[in-house]
Amino acid sequence: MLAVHSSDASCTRRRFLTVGGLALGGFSLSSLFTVRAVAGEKRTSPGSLETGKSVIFLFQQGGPSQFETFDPKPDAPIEIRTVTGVTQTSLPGVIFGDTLQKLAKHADKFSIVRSFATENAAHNIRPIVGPESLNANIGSLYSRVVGPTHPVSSMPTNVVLFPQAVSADAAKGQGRGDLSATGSIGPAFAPFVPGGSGQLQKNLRMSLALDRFQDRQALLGQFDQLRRESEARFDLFEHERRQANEVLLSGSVADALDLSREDPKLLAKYDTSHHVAEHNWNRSDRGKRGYYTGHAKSLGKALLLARRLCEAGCGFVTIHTGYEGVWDMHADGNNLNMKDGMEAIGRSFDHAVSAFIEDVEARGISDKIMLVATGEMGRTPRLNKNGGRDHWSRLAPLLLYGGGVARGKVIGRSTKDGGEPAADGVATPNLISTILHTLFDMGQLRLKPALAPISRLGDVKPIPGILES
Amino acid sequence: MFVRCLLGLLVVTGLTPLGAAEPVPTDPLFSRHVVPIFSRLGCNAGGCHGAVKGQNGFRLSLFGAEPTSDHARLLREANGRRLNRLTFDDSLLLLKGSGTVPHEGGNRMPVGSREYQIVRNWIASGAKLDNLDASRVTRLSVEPGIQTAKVTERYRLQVSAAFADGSNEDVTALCSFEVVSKELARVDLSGEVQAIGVGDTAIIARFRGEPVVAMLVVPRAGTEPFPDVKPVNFIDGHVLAKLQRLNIHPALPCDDATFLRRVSLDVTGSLPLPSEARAFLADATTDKRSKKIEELLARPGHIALWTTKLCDILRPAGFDGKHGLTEAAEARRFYEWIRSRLAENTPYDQLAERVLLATSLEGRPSQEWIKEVRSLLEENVALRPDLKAYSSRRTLDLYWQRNNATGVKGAMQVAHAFLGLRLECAQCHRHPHDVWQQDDLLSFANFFMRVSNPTAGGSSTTIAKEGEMLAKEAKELRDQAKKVGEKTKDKSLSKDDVAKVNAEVKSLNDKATALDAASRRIKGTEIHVGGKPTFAGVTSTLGKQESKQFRLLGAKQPVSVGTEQDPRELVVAWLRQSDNPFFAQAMVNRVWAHYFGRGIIDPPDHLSPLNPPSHPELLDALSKGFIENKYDLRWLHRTILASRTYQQTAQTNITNRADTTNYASAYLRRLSAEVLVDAVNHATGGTETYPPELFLPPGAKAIEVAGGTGSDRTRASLQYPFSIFGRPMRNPDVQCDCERDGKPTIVQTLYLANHPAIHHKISDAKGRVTQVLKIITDDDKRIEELFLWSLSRLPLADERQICLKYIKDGPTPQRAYEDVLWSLLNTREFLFNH
Repeated sequence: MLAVHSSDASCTRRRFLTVGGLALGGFSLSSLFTVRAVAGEKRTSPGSLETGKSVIFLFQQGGPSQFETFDPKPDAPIEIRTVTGVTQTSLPGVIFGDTLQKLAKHADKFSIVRSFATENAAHNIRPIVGPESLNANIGSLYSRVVGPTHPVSSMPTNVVLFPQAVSADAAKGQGRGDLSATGSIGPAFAPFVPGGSGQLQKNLRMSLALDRFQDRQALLGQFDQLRRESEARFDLFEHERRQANEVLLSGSVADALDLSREDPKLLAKYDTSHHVAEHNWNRSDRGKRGYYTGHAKSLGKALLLARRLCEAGCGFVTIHTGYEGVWDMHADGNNLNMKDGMEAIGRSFDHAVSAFIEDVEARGISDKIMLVATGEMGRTPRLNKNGGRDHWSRLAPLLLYGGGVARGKVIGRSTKDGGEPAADGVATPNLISTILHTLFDMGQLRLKPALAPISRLGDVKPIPGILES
Repeated sequence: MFVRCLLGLLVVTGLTPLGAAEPVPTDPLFSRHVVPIFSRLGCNAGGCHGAVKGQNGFRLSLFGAEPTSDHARLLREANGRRLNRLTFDDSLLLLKGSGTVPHEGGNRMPVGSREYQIVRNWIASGAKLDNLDASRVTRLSVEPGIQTAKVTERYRLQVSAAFADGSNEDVTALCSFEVVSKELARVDLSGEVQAIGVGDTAIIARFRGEPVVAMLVVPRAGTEPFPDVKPVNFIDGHVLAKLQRLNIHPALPCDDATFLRRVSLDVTGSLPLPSEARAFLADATTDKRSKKIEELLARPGHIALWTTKLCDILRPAGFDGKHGLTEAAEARRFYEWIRSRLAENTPYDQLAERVLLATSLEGRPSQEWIKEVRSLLEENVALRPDLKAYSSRRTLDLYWQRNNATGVKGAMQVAHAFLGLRLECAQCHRHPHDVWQQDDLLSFANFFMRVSNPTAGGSSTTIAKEGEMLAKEAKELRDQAKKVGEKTKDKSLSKDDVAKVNAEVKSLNDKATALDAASRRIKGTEIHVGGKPTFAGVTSTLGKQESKQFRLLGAKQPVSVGTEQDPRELVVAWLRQSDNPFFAQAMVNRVWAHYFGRGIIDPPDHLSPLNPPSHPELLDALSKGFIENKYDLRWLHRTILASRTYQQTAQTNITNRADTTNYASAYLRRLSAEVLVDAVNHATGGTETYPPELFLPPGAKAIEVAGGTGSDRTRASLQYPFSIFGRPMRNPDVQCDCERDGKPTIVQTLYLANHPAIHHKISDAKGRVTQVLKIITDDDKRIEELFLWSLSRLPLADERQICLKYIKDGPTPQRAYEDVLWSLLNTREFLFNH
């Protein structure tokens, strides 16, 4: 029996019980895949706050157009309807913008919301960080509940992926706004940013010469041996130490982050670099800065990496390969017009998300990982005189897939001009509630007074019809 | 679920004619029989149909709180298909509940089960709503209230309810049951309990949402005679009496070195110096432990440690800049005020009074307060908010100047901080794990609704006017600065002259900024009582609720409050009543939890009839003693520390190995974040760097940090260890002692084993290893010194040999000793208080 006392010690105990004997028998990365899968199935284990599901949030900074993606309005006047033409999807009567040909074939596997409005028309990082998420990255809310690192693998539970995490030669990107924001949740729950230089990375990377580390471990082992003979209860913490050493020596977290350990064929399927066509894009400033290229070079790999991280114990991944807003297609000196913009950005988006869906389906883990794709706003119904679209707060595209999301649903509808929800309006709090209901057993979460600010976000209705099959 | 039901039935029929034989009422009542079944089977729980949004289109009120609306939904929604009045078994309610048609919740009441028959009979007899007034429960009781049983023994609980119409009913078969300590016993749906482990536990039975508690005591088997152990004080009497009942033998007293380390960490948050340890070990007098306790209680570390503890609970955070308050500076002042009170050993009831009845003026003329505010802002400019101007105030008005200090949230904090109660859930509904109703919370919140603070009305009118004056003065200063600044347009001025002018401009502007802040603070933050009368209300997904009464927690009757009165005075008077069931207990319990890692009531901030104490008589005696000693905190510390129970070893014997709740041995506790950072520095000779907004001198200890350490992860060197070792965020929205996280994790292990900051401290040229090598030449003595600095004890003979060999084999002494110190820091013995 555990003899350490803290007001919430039972929680530790329970977590270790859920992951079972694996914790004691040492672990390898491959075993973690099982751990998390098993944890996911154990949803009904009494008192567990987590469902074992993960969420990947693909943030389309700049504000993707609803017309050229999932709501093309082909019958609207020419200055409104999509500039790309349309494509028939695998769902009868549902059409997408022509750029999304691959996704159209998978439309029966995910759902789209045609009545989603962010109520925001400025470049920021809502809905991933905003007043509706306590001014913290939604992933930090997750970390606050489950702890910043996975209890077995010490995989950070909340990760943000920028292009530099997967593509060393892509232009360095951050994004407008602080995706590491933790609001009142606390800096301890800030996301882990691979390729950055956070404290956690210092912790995880072996900081001593290997032989010296081993000398020290040997000495410590001798002290422990003596102590163990006299005081058996120190043994209770032995498995954590073994895990810590394992993490350091095996570099297991580092492995999960290393795409070269993935099957090269699969990596090739995800890879979107062949969508790079710089000569077309360099007309705009963003193109010259390498942002469109960086997006195409990194988005596919980032989705693959996100899947790997989720399997290794991460529960929330934000993907931001959009720099300062590659979806911002104003057709001014800074940005491409809608048509070229969709070529530059839409093609790789279509390819990457489709590859992700195919991979997840093939692995049979579609109910374990949810993918959310949206931006901070949508775009104006009327094209501007240069063939671009400007900022729009009253409607934005939203795609959801997996983790219990209904398959092949079109939720809500927009007005004829694609400017506003016409029925079943969905707002950011509904989206955040949907995410929380996917990650947590909200009934259990509500019983934890310390987590009240988070569980209250789940009192808002999830997107209607989305979590029901 | 199906299996569980079935097992229950099998057991029942196999043993005694119990639940199954309970006759099925032919004419069941909705609120007495059907709604309890929904609760018993979990249908109306928050995770199922009791959720605000219901489940799959069907909603029930949470825990059956509103039978009328449940009845209406069953009757009218889903096109009436839920109840079929012709072929009863085709009612959707029965088809779904029995899993006959697909039901996400599974087969909850198999066809033919007692529950199924009751619901069916209710439909058959017309599916009526009974008279809710007549069906109100007036008394719920459980038999046996206390039961002693051996491991593997079984017995039955019987729950009976008395109703408002005078009728009584055995409701056992309509209840749900829950064992609080699950490793001790199992209980099934029929109320049959089986003891499976040694110790004692509460078992909660619930009828509808109403709970009632039974106790189970399971002594250890074995016939060894109970050792002849002498109690040191009354604490030991109670603890030993219970151990004897449970047939668990207490651990032996700990040795002197363990005692010194434990008591130093617990009382002052610091490890003892090697010289202190040597002297203590050499001291042959018999009262050296009690002398040491007195000495430690008088040290600044003890005051700092408990100031930090009280700040965890009172939460100096959420100061609004728009009223001229600055988070970092106010947190420091708040801390210093508490520190000064603890240094004076202010009796705890007076401390509570001086927080709860705080006003800004404290009866002084307004000019004096305005002067005070201006001097505070000058302190801010000088980066010295730790000075006496604030801490010498009689009352802590900063407590009320925080966001959310009043109203319902403020009331929840008072309840949590001073009464150890959790009222969050009562915001929306009656909680299944507690007894508080929404009206209890709102009626209590009304005592704090007349406090005028930044969010509720601001300062009184005359004072606000004074604030306006200062704003004018500030504007004049700015104009003046502008005018002075224009001089620089004169091209003939020398470089030096321009610099002089600029300095003057800056000085004027700085003064204006301070005046502006003072003005905002004077206008917005004067804490006084007598705002316009408003009443507490909450709006939740379940609608808006309000109370217009003043009612103290647990009181049946409201009290009347005069229009000119400060209602908070009634709260403080109530706290001081010797029969107040919470105030003294909550503090006694928290102090106890600090020394033992668990409260007599645990978690320590959850005083509730549904969370009974492990040692009720002990808690009672300590609380009485605390009150009789005039709420003297030092008496409380001293009494606990002197007990044999506190001074036991962590070494277990064959009888007490499994014990985690009865204090049969000392329990291991991980060092808290601040204490750990200080212990690492103590052992390695390292220091921390403090950013200016922490207002700390270099060399200060981590336990002296007052406020948050900021979101910039690089500025304060201790920010990272603070976050991974669980220093609380003091988020004003959260009331929970559990915010201070004591759990051991891998990341902590990784930090001590591998973080570059630790390596740096160990190998630093001014660090412990270098110093020890320089000052001491003998390897034996050097090893002793490192053991004393880190583990506060001398090495065992074997440990000495291991180290000597390691040093002999090592490439250089510096490197070998660094490795030794690293290994000592990474022992569990270092990370835990034991």
